[in-house]
Amino acid sequence: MAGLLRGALRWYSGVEHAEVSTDSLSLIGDRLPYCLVLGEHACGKTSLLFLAAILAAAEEGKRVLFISRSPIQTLPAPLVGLRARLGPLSLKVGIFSLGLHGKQTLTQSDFPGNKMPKIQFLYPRSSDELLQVVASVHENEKLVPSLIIVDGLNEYAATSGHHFVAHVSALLVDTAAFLTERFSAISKNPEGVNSKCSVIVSLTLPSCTDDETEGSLNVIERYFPVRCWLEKDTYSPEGVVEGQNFRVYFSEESGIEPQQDSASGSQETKEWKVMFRESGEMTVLPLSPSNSGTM
Amino acid sequence: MSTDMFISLPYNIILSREQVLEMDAVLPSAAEELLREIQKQYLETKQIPDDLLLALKFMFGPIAVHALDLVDQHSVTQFVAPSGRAVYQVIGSSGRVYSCFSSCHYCSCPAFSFSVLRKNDSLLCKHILAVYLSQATGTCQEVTTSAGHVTGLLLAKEEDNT
Repeated sequence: MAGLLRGALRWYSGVEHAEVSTDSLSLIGDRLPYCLVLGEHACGKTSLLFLAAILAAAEEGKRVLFISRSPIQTLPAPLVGLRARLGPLSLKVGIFSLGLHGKQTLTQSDFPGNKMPKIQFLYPRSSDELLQVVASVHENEKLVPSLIIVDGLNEYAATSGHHFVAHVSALLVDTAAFLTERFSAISKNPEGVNSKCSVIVSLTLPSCTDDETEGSLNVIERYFPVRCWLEKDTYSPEGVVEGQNFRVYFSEESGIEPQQDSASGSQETKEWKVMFRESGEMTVLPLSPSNSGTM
Repeated sequence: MSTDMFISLPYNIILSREQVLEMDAVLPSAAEELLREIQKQYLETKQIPDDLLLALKFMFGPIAVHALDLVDQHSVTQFVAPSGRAVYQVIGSSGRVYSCFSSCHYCSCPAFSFSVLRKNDSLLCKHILAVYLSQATGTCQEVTTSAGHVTGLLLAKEEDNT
């Protein structure tokens, strides 16, 4: 969901958390627990999702299911520079030594003391396996996640058509809705962080779209009205290092305008800039309203 | 019927067909309101009044009649696992069975794939509408089953029915 992604961007940028309105409707995307992350290849989506997973598990106590077609063998390159900061967090969530096993599935016996980590990585190889993973989430009542991340849905959808895209999107939303209802029923605090199940899906936009790709995008957008865009930024102000720059912002296709909480004077950043150096190192900067318009 | 046409009902539900055709995976608020009225009336009279039937047809087009037929034939069943995970199964007019989800629009039938996803000229198919109507009228059968069976129904794909 958008709040988790904003949290990851804030953490990455190192900016102290500004006073934020407690009104959950004050920011785009905060009403709904589902978010679609969109951007071209190598714009930082996997790093952002990975960081959101660690923060959700370490700081909010969420149990995370991270699904990807490509196994994550090591820390994503853009996050390597943050290894020292990530260390304490990774210990909290059970990713020991920041080395990920890259196995198809992990079991309790893979970890010291048989303690299951709060983040489970699964790498279904096909669209059918992906559907199976999501459809069977409800079967293991002891391990139900409160955050489901699917990184790179396009890798499964490439050969599977619109119906598969609708099926997996609807399955994710339906599964999260069921788990949210279940968590709320047993939680003493229905509004607490663990009282709902959130879903974040990332999709790589191709450099040129055809009707089929656009059709698949239209289908998935039905189920995920909240979007986080990582858009190439062609504006290069003075002092910005060589490399690629992306602008990060959120949109919601709900027709409901986010409420302006003028009473508390919310200072929450609405846009971010992600910059990649030639070395692959990533920098995240919050954009104030005065310089976010210079795109 | 013009897409700009408005219809006003005694129950203060004013809507246009354009409002209904928002391409989303959940019902627009006007449709939710209509279903609530149907539920309220059905509870009292055990039937859907003519004006609400008219609103249903206006809102959803030709599939409304087919959905009502499916409800009359008791074609909708909700399968529930011990954990509470649920999925709907609808027996179509041809006798084939399709899976529909509870919280957002998805159906394993070819019409959903074609008319809703590809052509974008319907919000939902007759099976999904039949699920909504059977919920509103309390005529949906509920069956407790295994977690594995529910997973299987959730996985039902379009080609399983061709």
